[in-house]
Amino acid sequence: MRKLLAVAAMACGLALAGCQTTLPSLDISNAVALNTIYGIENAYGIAVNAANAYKALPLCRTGTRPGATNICAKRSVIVNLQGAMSRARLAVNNAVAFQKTYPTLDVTNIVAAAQAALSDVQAVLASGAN
Amino acid sequence: MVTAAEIQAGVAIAEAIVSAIVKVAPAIQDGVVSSLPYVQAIAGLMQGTNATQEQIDATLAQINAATDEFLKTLPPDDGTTAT
Repeated sequence: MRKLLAVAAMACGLALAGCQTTLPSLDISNAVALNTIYGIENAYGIAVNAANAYKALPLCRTGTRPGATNICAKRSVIVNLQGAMSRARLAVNNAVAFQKTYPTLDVTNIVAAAQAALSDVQAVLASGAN
Repeated sequence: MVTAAEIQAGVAIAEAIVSAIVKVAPAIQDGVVSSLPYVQAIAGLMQGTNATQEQIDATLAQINAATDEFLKTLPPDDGTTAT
């Protein structure tokens, strides 16, 4: 009986001291969301650097095509790319904001939107070689 | 049988390619070098490193700055770069 009282008193003491009575646990879903968002950000980072490298090329002269001996950027491709990049930036920023605001919610849909926007960027960048 | 003229033509093409690449090399190099941290971050994730909120915030600031740079409007076309 004394032992039981001692355990009860200790439990009450821990509770009063604000000690956790549950075991600490790792929030796996949150870690996955952070990693997913970080992965998307870095993929976007590579895309935006590629876009900046493309934009830094000399503009193609009117009527010429880019080629091995005429390395140049098409004005039309840069303009298209700016639109696609704008949309991708918005999607990536939305994904980050969503993850921060709702750290425990599923990020699948918002990540899919960012991936789709990045795919558009990739397609426009690829068109620059033609 | 390859003729001397054909070899000379081949060399001329190779020279033109190298010359074109050398001219734009800084732009290409900048693109490659500045992409390295992003590639390394993805490699880290693949190896099992977990991302932190601080890393996400810092990367977002970097990519937004790079996007601002890209979104700056091109100089107006004077008819010579209308492609």
